[in-house]
Amino acid sequence: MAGSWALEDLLPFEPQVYWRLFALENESAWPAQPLLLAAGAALVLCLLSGRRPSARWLGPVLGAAWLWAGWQFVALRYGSVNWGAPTLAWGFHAEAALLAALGLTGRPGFGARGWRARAGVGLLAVALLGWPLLAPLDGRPWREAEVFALAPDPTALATLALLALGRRSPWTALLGVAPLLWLALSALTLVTMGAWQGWAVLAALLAGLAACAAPGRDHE
Amino acid sequence: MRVTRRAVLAGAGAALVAPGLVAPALGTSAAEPLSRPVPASGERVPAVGIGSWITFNVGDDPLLRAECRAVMAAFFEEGGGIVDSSPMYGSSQAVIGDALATLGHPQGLFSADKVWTDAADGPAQIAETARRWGVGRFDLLQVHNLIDWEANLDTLAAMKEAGRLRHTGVTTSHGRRHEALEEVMRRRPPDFVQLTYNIVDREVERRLLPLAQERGIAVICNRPFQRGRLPDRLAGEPMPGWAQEIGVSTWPQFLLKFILSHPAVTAAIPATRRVDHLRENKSAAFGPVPDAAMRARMAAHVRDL
Repeated sequence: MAGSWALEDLLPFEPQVYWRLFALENESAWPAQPLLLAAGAALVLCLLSGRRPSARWLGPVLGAAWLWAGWQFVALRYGSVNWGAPTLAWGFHAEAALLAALGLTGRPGFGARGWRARAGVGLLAVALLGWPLLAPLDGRPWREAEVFALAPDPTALATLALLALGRRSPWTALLGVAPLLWLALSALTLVTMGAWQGWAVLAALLAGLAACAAPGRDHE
Repeated sequence: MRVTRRAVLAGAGAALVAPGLVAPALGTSAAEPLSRPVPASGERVPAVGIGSWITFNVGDDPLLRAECRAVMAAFFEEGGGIVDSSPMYGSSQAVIGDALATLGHPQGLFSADKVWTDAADGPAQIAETARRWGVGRFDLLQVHNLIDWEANLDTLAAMKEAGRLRHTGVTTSHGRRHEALEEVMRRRPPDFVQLTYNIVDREVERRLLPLAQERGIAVICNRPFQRGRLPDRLAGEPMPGWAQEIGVSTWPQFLLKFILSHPAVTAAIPATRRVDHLRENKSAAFGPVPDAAMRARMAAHVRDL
């Protein structure tokens, strides 16, 4: 009816246009995808074997992922169809800077145990290895797969998972702000688009929160 | 289904022998698409133009830009008309500019864009808009959603006075701010107004459309399909037999024909990125124009479905 806005009226692009952004990004980043997936699998296996990654290298690696996803995807690609996106990219750059600082300080370490550790590793596996499957599960081509460090959703979710694995500290809370806000916004965008992936993002967001709050002691 | 002009004209021919309920297209023959004069200049513009909100916002995607170019090419093959955009529409302006450059700036373009900022920033935004389109002078510039409308209209009036713009306008959408638009039309009538009008959003029939006729203001209708919701809603419904009398065979034609048959309406600007939809939309400008009785029948039919 006239005089009222539907939520979808606030989105200035069609779903096809949004999904095609991932195809374009994957095309330009190839062959980074198999390397990223292999690195992700190695990290998950490392955690499953009980080894603890050092924040000194994981922080900068995650920071680089946020910088790339924020600049290349959010600011440039998403920004080409959504004039608000370049502003959102500043949040990605701030998170990248915080993660780089995490690498310099080495705090907090990644030493959670118990349920928190299990939930964190599970969520990390979903982000790094499961998220690329969403496109084919939706009947879309593989070239539209969302890969960690190239696409923002798996990057944010992987960060949340690693924060669940980290020692609880003010750093953890601070580093969790950008992933939570992005995932909430992404879920809202996708649901508004009529895409079921929005509910997957929302579920992942809630799982990430639950993982961070799960019982489990920090390793000393 | 591809809708051909031949099929539409055949339907129109059948309609011409049907008694009552239709009127000939004003100032045109059934073989010519409906066009309407702009009161301020007397120039006739095709009654079916094209909008670019959402559909042309495809960024730098080469595949989707090619689709937009194909739609624009078909648009000009079908006679051209109003091409409408806004700085608010993301990459749409650049996509239109890209298509126009590729097509060699074909005849038949009635370029329409908007100023969507405070008046202080208006001239710079208009210059950027012209750069993206690759045009030197717009046929129409409109104040988008009445933003800073008095001062922005000053800018547009000065441009028109200096010969750097052909027509001025003011826009609303989604049925919002009709009282403010009415005030603009009474106090300082622009050459064009743009508003939301379709077979279910008909509030403008009460005051704004009669006022436009009275003041000699051209009317562009946006959201003719409610962003696709109307055709989607009607898709499973059978077309009534009497629709043949007005020469339509599809719901989008039906919906557009209703809008175009209001005597105050200058043009509708449906947006699409599909060539078959573009040709279907354009075909609605052919054939008989429903009269008031037929319009009432059309609206009642859709309301009761």
